[in-house]
Amino acid sequence: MMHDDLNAPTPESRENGEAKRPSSSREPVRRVSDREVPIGGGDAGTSSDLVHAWLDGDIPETAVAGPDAARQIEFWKRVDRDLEQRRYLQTPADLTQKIMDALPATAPATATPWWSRPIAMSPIAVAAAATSLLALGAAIGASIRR
Amino acid sequence: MGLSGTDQTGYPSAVKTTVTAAQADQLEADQQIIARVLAGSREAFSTLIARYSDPLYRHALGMTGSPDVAEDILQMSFIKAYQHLAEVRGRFDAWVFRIVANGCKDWLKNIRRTHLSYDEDDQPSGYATPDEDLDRTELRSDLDRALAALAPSLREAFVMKHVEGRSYEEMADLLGTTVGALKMRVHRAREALQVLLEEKYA
Repeated sequence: MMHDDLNAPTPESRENGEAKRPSSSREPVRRVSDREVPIGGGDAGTSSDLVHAWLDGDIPETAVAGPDAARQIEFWKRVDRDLEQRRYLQTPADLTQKIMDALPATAPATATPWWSRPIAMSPIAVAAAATSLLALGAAIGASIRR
Repeated sequence: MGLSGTDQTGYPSAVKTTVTAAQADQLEADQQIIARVLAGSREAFSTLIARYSDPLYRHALGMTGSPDVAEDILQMSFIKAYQHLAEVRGRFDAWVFRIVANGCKDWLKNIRRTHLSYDEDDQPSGYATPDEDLDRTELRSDLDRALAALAPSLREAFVMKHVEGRSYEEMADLLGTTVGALKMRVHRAREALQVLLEEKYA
């Protein structure tokens, strides 16, 4: 099984020199890449997996056990109290009007399938296309007669 | 039940993957409004904005961390949606969500490319209220910084799951990926956030 080091520096993070971090930490925070490999390491398969399952709503809190479970549950409850407020955020009251004011004055174009759209061609293009078709027809005819 | 907030999003029911009768009505109502807009009733478009702007704003704010940027992305996205309204096939809310989600990702790409810092100017300013206790404000600020440290796809998955309270199926439907991949992203985002925040809060 592959194991990811969540703290491993990525080329991207080094390039950007990102230093977003919680104020508590002295270590620079590196961007966490999104490689989709199984999460492993540490206590994976025990309390960590159970906490994920609880966070996903798959199991009740009472089913979460393990050495770090209580600490992790408390941590996520604390985070959730903050996220709770964000779930009710509303768009600023004037935004709808701002968007309406910024809309183009003309009505949106009605989509038509490509086969029913008018084709605009110059006379020269028409003549060239006709000549090409005639030449192609003549070539095919000649090859059939042979 | 876990802490996904699934029951508390206020997101219009039409976005759910399984279409109920009420959701089908909503879909039909959207189609009627779209037909009116295409027939020349510009004002009808405001109904669509009012109906869907809240969850889209929450997504943009969760992704960018800035109320101003979130407003800009919403404005640009709805203008784009208006201009291409005739191309809507199926659910309008899912279609416009993808426009907003792409707008957020483009913004994140640009801000990294131009090496702009969003430490200060673009940090959320709309969350704090004077009555909140200092501890909670501090966690909010730290959480915002930790979210900003995540890769965009991890942040997107975490925001959709834990801020917008969507199910994995709904997320997969909107993002065009698998439930397994999204679970992996959410789990990785949680692991990362915990690493970033636990020293102080765990």
